[in-house]
Amino acid sequence: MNEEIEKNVYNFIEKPLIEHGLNLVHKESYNLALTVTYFYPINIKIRFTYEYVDMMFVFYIYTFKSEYVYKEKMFWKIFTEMDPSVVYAEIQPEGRNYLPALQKNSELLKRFLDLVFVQGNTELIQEILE
Amino acid sequence: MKSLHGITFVVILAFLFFEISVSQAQAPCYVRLEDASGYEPTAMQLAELEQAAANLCAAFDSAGFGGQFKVYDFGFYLHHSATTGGYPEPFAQKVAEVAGLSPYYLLFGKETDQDGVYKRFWVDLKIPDTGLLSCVNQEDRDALPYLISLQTTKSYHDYNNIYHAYDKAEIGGINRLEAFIKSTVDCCGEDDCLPCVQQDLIESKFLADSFTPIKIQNIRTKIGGFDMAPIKDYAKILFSIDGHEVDIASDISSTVSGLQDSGFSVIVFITSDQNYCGPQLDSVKAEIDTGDYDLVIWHHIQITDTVKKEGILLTNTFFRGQSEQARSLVICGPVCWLLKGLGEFAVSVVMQASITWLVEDDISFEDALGKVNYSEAALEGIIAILPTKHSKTARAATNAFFVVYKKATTQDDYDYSEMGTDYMTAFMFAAIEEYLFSYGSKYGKEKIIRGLLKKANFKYSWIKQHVPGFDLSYPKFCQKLGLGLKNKQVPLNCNVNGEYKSITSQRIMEGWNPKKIAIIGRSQDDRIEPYKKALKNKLGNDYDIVTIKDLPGWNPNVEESLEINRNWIRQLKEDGYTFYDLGFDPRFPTKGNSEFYNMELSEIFDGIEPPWPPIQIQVP
Repeated sequence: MNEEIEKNVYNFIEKPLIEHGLNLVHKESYNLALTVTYFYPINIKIRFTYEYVDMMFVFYIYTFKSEYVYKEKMFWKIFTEMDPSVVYAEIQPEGRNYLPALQKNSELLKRFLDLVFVQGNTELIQEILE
Repeated sequence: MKSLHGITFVVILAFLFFEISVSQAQAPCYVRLEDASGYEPTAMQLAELEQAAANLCAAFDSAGFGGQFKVYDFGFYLHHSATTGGYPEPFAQKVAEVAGLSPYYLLFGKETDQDGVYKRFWVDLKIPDTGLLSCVNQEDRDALPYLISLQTTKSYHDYNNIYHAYDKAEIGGINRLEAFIKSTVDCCGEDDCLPCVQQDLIESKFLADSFTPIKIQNIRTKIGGFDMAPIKDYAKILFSIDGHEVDIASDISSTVSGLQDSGFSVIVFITSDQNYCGPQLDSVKAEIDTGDYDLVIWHHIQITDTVKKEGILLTNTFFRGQSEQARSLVICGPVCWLLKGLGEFAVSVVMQASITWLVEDDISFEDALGKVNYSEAALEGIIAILPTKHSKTARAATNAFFVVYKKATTQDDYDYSEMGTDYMTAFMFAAIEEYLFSYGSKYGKEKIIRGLLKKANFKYSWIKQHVPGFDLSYPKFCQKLGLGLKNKQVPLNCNVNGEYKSITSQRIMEGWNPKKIAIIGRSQDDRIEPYKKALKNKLGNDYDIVTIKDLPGWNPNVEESLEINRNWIRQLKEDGYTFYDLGFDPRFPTKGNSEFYNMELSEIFDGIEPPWPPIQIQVP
């Protein structure tokens, strides 16, 4: 729908995921939303959707025990738990103005990915998904 | 030889006299000027026209204007509608030219255009104002061309408006003028006015003043009569219209009271041709010209057939300001003239037009006015509406009409579209319930509802803003139809990204088509689309279930997309869809803010939000 949005989502969300070893498994762009889904080789899936019509980000992490058994959590919960100073309003678009929120998500996502994949704190995922 | 010379002299004299007589007899009274249509009349047609014209010229000769009058016939092609002095330009030029050819004349202008030959007849006339014709007053002089024109058109109509019967049309006009001249010559100088009254001339004067004619029957004298201050019944006549008994003075009294209650000062005159020679008509005209009434309603009754007791009711309403200054500011644009011409039953006409406007797609208010059944409207105006003044519909219709009327007479750029909106504002919504089940019923409920939603609901915000106390939101509208908001939650087990989750609709706005459903709410991918699939599984293929994802033509431009979305919602409302509102997304800590969803809430739920936090019912 909007090349600029696709470019920004790539730069701020997809790129950090790729840099941390996740692979793109699904990308869908249609008139109402843009969804990208990345999979970590073992058991983690991350899905980011920007619903234009709802002016909101739907940002999930899933951990799989098997193909059909998984736990899920929305990133806004993870981010606010990870950093209590994070205000929910900062990580959702303010009407049409989505870029500051996208940048904030990007910043928090990188911190999260660093904790899990760079520092190897994989228990964190189990912990936050409890 | 002398006698031979004498005989020769007599023969020569006789020959000369004969020649002079013949040349005088052959001097044409009917002069055929150029004709752009290309149609060539037959010799027979020309002979008959000349004969009729000669009779007319003879009437002028008898009145002392020998050889000073001629009938001219001119045909022109109308390329554009520009006018000069109310005439098409080619005809106006010919009028000026003919004025130089003969001191007095009757000029016919046959208009041909792209639609055909002789589509319309124009008439210009100049008659003497001295001698035996000096008693023709200016008012009659002004009305006379209109009368001749009416007669010409009527005669043409009698021959199905076929161009090769143009001679019959012109002969009709010529004969009428001849009758007028002869009658006037006989009457000028007589003390008794009544025998000289020429009924069709009076009628043409009223018609020229935009009075509306209505055929009346069973005319009889009224014994006694209604006496109410603002109603001056000089005629004292009862009659019927299509079997409905009418006593104007009595019937109109409730309307007059209603108008007075609405703050209008009003006076009603009821006259007949019997009043033509008395002071009554002059007093009516004086009231219209200089009176202080907001409204002067004038009914004039003509008895056209005393044996059959048939006649014509001519009716009009004149609007006036409160003061001389205000009167001078009264402006009458096309809408104003239309309303004036229709008289009091314009109330009914405008109401009929508004129904047509409502139920027909892609029709302007002006075109809707053209589709009104004016006879029916006249009947409603005089008979149906007035006695039921106390019904909500009649009250609303009358008040709405005068809102429009007052605006039309004070605002020169007032157009039909604005008139439609104003009328809708003041009437439709005030009386919608009664309207739907009475006047609207013959058009079918579905058509009326669709029309109201399409044409009125679109203006709802504007109306709400401008009309104090107005409240007919979409929920209320649906409620009046026995449908509307149902605080009913429908939880469904939905497949969301491979996992079944319970999603609960928060409320339902029931539309008039039970087999059509639209789902709205926040989070399209994770809530709306899964819910749609689940509902489809539950209800089956008989149901048409749509979401915003079905909306084509989405656009990267938010403003445009909003408009596309809004129009889509309106179309759904118009088509009677039932809306399932899934509300806000309970996965988030706040309701969030979406211009699109807010717009949908405004359009469907009058801006009232669904519950927060959302009601969540687990499907067993």
